[in-house]
Amino acid sequence: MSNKEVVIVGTGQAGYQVAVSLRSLGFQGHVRLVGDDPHLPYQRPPLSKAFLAGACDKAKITFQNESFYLKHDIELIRGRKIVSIDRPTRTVVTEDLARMQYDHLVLAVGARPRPMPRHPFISAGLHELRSLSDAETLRAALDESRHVVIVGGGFLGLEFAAVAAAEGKAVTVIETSVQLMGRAVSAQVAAAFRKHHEERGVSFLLGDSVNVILNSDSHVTGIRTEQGRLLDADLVVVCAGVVPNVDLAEKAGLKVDNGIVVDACLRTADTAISALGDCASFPSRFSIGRCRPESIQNAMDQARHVAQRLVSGVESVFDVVPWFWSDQAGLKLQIAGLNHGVDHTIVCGDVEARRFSVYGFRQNRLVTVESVASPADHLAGRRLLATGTAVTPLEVGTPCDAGVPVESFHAKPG
Amino acid sequence: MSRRKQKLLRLNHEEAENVKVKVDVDKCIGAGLCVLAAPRVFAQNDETGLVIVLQEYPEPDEQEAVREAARLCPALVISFEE
Repeated sequence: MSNKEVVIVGTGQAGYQVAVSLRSLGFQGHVRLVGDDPHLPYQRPPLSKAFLAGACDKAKITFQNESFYLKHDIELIRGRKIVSIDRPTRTVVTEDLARMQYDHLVLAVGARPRPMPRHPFISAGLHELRSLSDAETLRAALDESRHVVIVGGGFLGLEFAAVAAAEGKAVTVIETSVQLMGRAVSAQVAAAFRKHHEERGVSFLLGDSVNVILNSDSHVTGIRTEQGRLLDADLVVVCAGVVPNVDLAEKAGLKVDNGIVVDACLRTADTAISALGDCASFPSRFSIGRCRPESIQNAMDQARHVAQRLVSGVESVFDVVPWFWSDQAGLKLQIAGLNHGVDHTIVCGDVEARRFSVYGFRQNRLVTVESVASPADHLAGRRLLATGTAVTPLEVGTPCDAGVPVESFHAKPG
Repeated sequence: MSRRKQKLLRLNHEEAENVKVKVDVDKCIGAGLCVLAAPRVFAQNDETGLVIVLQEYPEPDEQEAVREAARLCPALVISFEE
């Protein structure tokens, strides 16, 4: 199939990487990168860390300036929303009714913040954090604020809490679950991070949620929770997870199920359309059923994979070990694999010193490694998971000594 | 001029030409994008995956690749002293 015209919808990291990889692999056709974000493609992770803290400016997190796209003949169209896909004619349509032809369409449309239930509208003092525009607004608002309430104790909420606490704000995190970072991490890891944050002045209300948002002159002044707690709040940030942007695909008749459905090669049922990154769910040997890892690594690796297929014409299974990282108040968390169906864990290292790893097993087979300030464990774990070697627990229920390398686990071939 | 003085002058001149690369290893999470962008300047520790600087004062023809690496690093680990 000729791939003369590639249209990439979404100018996030995944979309950017597809365009760059196409060119670096020698693609000679037309590359159009179009999205509704008005900014030049940028790094997302720093938006809740260094950028939010004012430690770096926009230029530092912008991947490339305009001249790069011109030089590499990538037609970058910013601030334009694609509203429909006309599959029979292979065109996408923008909100101002312009039509763009494609031989292959890559959907890298990402995800958007999940609104708070019963409080779907953002008003003064109420914020989301997803885009650079959000982060710029928040950074300014954070300066002016004194009482910060963060709705959602997941990775994003906790990274934000760390920045706000470091600036001396009164910070409270409200989380519906009894554990931080929800189902994504083990109890041991959640507990370590909770202590780390509490030592830095962050308060937690777990098993609770927002009931009423108190306003004065249309600005937030406080929160009353379901459990009846009353909090002062002049800045409320909703970090309650993201939902994949599936509308475009769904309207075009593509299957969606926790994301745009793609196969193991990241193709939709339409041979001319691929989807990847935060918007796409795919089958993986690392998960039970389909997965949609919300990680930068996944987005970038999938982008390279799809670009490779478009240039070479060869289909191959996307088989990269999913991995993820978070940096909260200087405490580093790295996760290799996914914790679907974990039925047994082993903790290795020094939990008190917050330098340890948790190995998760499913039916006697290692499926995930969570590492706190332990990059060597993380790298070893990632390599082991990549080989597909079945690693079984050394002894059921026994924590191993600090510093025992993962290779010492009993490893069976195949 | 003594040999030693000549050598020192040469070193100072080189340092003035080249920018010094700094990395905050504590922030590094081993993504390896720096190695992809500038493999002669950055490497990853084989055990930890964390960044190692191979050329503290990269050659002039490496400068662009190094700046690219700094922009790509998701943890913003790389900085410069000019």
